[in-house]
Amino acid sequence: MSTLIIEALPLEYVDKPSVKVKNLGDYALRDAIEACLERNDSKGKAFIYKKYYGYLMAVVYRYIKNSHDAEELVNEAFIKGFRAIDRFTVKTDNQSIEKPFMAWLARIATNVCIDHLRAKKQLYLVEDQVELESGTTAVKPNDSLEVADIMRLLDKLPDIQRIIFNLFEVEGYSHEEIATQLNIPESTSRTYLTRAKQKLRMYYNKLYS
Amino acid sequence: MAMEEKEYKDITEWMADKLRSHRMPYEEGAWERFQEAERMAVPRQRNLWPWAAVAATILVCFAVFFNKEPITKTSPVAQRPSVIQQTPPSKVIDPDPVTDVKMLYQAPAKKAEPTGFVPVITPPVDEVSQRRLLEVKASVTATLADHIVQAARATKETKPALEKSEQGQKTKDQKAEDVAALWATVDITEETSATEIEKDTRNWNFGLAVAPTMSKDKVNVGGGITVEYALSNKVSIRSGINYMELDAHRGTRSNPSNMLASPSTSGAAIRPANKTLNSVYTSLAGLDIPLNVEYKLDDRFFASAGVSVFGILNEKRTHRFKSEVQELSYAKGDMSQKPMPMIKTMYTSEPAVNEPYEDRSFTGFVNFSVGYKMPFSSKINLSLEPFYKIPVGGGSVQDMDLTNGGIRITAGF
Repeated sequence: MSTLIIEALPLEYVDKPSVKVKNLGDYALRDAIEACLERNDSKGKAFIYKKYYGYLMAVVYRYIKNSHDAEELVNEAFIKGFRAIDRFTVKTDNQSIEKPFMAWLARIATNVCIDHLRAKKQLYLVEDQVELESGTTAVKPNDSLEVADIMRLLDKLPDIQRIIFNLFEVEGYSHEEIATQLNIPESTSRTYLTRAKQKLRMYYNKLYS
Repeated sequence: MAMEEKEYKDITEWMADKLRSHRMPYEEGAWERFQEAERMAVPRQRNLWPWAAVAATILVCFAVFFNKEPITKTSPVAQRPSVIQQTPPSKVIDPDPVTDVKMLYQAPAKKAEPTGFVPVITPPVDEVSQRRLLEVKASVTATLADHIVQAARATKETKPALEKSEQGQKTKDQKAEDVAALWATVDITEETSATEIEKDTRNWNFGLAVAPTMSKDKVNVGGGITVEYALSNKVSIRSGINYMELDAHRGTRSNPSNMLASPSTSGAAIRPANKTLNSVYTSLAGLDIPLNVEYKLDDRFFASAGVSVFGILNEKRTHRFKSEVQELSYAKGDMSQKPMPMIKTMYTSEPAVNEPYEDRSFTGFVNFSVGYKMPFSSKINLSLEPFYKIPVGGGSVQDMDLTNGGIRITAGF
C-alpha cells in the first residue's frame, strides 16, 4: 500500500507521520533532492525545509541564543545547502540517505553559526579561575532532565567552551577540525572541552544535590 | 528513551545524545519566510557578455596604445639628413637612368650642382626615422622613374636632331631640375607623414580626475585616471579607472532618536517583542571602469554617454530592525501611581551577515554627462563634467538604488 502511495505521488513529498512507513521518508527525500538538483524544484525544497527545519533549528540554537538570528541562520544554512546540493553524495544506493543528509545539513548550519559568531567577535578565549574536579558523573536512574534544562546548563558555560562541547560531543567534530574552524591550537580545544565537561558535571550535581 | 537503551559512562555523554536527537517544532510561516530570504539572496542572473566586451575593448585599446612604436616629435626639418659628403662627379653622372634613380637615394640636393659635386646623405641614426625615410623614398623612386622615362621620351620626340653631347648636357640639366622638383615633393611627403605621426600622438589624451559623487544618501569623493582616444575631430572614446564610493538604502528610514545599539533595558519592565527588518543600508567601495563615447558639441562643450563596470572591493551592509517593546512606565513620572503598560518602538542596528554586492563582485552603470573643457596652460586642460549614472541589470531584491551623479573635474595632459 505504501508503495502505491509513493508511486501515485512521486513528487508530492509526503511528510505526514500518519502515512510514514519504512523508507518512505528516504524515498521522498531522494525524490526531493533529485528534484532540487534537476530543476531547482520548489516543492522539493519545501519538503526538505519543512522536514529538517526543526532539526536545524535545534542545531543552531545550541550556538545562537537569539531566536531571530537563529531562524535567519537556519535559512542561510538551507540556502547554502540547496545551492550546494549537487555536492551531497552517498556511497551506495541502498544506504539510507537521511542520516548522511542530516549530518551534511548540520555541518553547513554549524559552519554558518561559527561564521556568524566569528563576525560578531564572540569567540574569545577565557581563563577559568575556579578549580574544577576531575572524574565522571553517572547518570541518575530517574533522571528527568529535559533538553531545555540541558540548554540552561550549557548556557552557563563561556561561549567558546559551549561551542567546543557542541562541536566535539554533539556534532562529532575532531579536535583538529575544531582547531581549524575556531583558529585555536588543538591543545586549547582539548583543554576547553575538559573544562566544559567538568563544569557541566558540577552544574548537574548542584541541580540534583 | 535513549537513557534506557544505552548506558552512559558520564552525564555529559547523555546530555550530548539528548541534544543530538532533539528537534524543535516547525514554526508556521517559516517556509514562506525562507522563500523571501532565498529570493533576496539569489544572485542576480546577469549576462556577462556586454561586460566582457567592454573589458576586451579597453584591453585592446591599451594594447594598441602601449605596443605603438615610440614616435619622435621632432620637426620634419630635424629629421632631414644633416651630414653631407662630397663625391666625385664621375660617380654621380651616369647615363644609365636606372643608376640615376638609385642615386636619388643618396642625392637629395635642392639644386643640381653644375660643378658636378652632388651631396650624399648620411642616413639618420634613428631606426624609425630610417624606416619612414625608406618608405618615402621608395614611393618617390617609383614616381621619379616614371618622370625620367617620360622626360627621356619627350626629349627624343621633340629634339631628335640634337647632337649627342648637347643631348647629354640637356639630360643632365633636366635631371637636376627633376631631382630638385622631386625632392621638394619628398619634403612635402615627409612633412605630411610627420604631421600624421604627431597627430596620432595627439589623438591620445590622459587625465587625472576627481569626482564628488552624490547618491540619495551621502556625498562621497572618488577619483582616478582617464584615457581618451580621438576617433575624429568630433568623436572620441574615453575610458579609465576610477575609485568610487556609494551609499544607498532600502526601506523606510528609521528614527535616529529611537536608534539603539542594543535593545533597551530602561523602564520598569520590558517584554521584548519580535523585531522586524525595517531598512537596509549599504556602503560600497569599488573601481569603476567606464567606456564612453564623447561628442564635441563645439570647441569647449561636449556630451558623452556609455557604460561602465563597477567592481566592488568592499561592502558594509547594516540591517536596521524595528521592534515594539511593552514597557511599564509611570504616568507623568509619578511613581506613586500604578505603572501602566506602554508600547514603545525601538530601532536596533546590526551589521548584516551577507554582503550581496561584494559576493557578486560586479555591477554596472549607464553613464551620461555633459562637460566644458578649457585650456589651463599650454599642456594642460581642465574640464568640468556633470555626470549621471544609472545602475543596470538589477534583478535581485537585495539591490539598492545606486543611481548617482556628481561633477567630474579632470586635468587632461
